[in-house]
Amino acid sequence: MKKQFLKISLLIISCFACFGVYANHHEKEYKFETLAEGLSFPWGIAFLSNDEILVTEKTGKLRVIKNGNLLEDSVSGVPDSLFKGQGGLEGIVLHPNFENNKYLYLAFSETDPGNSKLNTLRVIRGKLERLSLTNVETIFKASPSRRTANHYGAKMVFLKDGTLLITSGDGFSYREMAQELDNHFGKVIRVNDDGSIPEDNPFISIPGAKPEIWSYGHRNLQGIVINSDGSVVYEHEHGPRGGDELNIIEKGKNYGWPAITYGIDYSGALISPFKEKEGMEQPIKYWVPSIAPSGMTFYDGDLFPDWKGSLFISALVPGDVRRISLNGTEVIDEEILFNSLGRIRNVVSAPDGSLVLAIDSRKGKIIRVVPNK
Amino acid sequence: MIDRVKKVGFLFLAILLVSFLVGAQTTVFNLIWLSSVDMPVTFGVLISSIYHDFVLMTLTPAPPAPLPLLPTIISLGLFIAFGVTWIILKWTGIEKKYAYGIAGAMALVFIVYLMPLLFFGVDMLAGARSTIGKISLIICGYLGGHFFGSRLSKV
Repeated sequence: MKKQFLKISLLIISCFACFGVYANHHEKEYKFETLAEGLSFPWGIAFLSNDEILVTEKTGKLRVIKNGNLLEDSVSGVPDSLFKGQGGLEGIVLHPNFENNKYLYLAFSETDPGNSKLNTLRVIRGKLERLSLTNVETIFKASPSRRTANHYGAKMVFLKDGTLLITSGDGFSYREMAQELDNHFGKVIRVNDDGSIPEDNPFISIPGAKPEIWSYGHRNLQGIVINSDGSVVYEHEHGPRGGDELNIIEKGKNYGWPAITYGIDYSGALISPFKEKEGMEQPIKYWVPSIAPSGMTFYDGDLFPDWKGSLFISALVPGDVRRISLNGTEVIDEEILFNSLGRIRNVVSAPDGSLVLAIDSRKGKIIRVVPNK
Repeated sequence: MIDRVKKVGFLFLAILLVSFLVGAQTTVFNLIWLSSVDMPVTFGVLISSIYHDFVLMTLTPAPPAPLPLLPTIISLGLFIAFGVTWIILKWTGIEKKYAYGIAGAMALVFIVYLMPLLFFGVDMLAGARSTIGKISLIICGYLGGHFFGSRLSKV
């Protein structure tokens, strides 16, 4: 009896030891460093350098983190945004030639100047000089305005040809309009860096179609990135209850929402009984149940060699980051990381190859992920 | 005692009826739009969609809520509207089926117009986004109230 007890005890201790070694091994891969605390719903992140980071707060301020310190003063000259529902000061991107022209682009929701009950998505650019944004000009304004404060999209990325892609969400209550070309709901928009319309946009010659449209049939697109050689555009969007999607965006394509979807409505109702149709693109990955994808980066850094070539997608629910391994444009694996930090609003690659996370909260944080060495 | 049980049963059936009609309205409105963009909507798709929506909207909890969303909201609306009607009927001689019919309609008026105020302008019932959708939902409320009132008259 005593021997049996000893054997069982040894077995249990061995199991714990093995688990400890396994857990320790995984802990050793990376560690977290808090760069800034007390940010009000941090949303978008852009790097002036590895140690100088711009962060948009959804409540309307553009903050600067310099050498690990959150500067007290925010950037002046940023237009007022509408902080309501899912709206606020959101997307941020630097011009590819920022070193020389100092252009910074911001996407945010704002009240319609002609009707205070309506609002819309607006994108501006301005010159960032020290802590001031000057020469602010509108690059894009979604049309028509909406009465809902949901589903703005508001993410941006520059393509290698110098044009800018902007995600414009379906406004929640206007989902059917994502299938029509006479509006900006549920679209990826493409403009030149000054807001003019590129001549090779796909619907530019179609009467009644908005000439800025690059692709359509989207829902709430909160992640858009290009791969390291700029040849592939990845986009993710929130589904309703289930049906979050990761797509490859191509010129003029229809991504199906809401005619085809893997999700259902929050009420439980079918949005569509159809999941595929000829002429409508399929996602390269979808999630049921939803993970609420909120930001994305294509990792091409050197600090984590095993992660090179992966997509990282931040998820609000349950609060983690998904590392998507790719073989070409095919998804081959998904790994769940950083699931102890709460709602993660964004994930971006820093110039030094670390990953930087925005933790979504009234007192949000910016966290850097570095190798644990 | 039996009459009281019957009344509660009729109330439950009225809630179920309105929930079913509201769900079916959402389904039909969705399918009309899908058909308009050349999706292959057949009679079979219609029947299976109505069944799906009835089961998921009326009988299945909608996470994170622990209860089915639609019948919970409709119950709340009908309880208040029928309660007020019960008081009014003590002093007036309106036929119950019409009085409760109007009460059911009023409950849906509040649901379709007040819900967007709580959700930043969002209509949680997709079928309530257009004026014709709102009117048809209010008619669903009337039918549920009418059913309840007419059953009460026979107790």
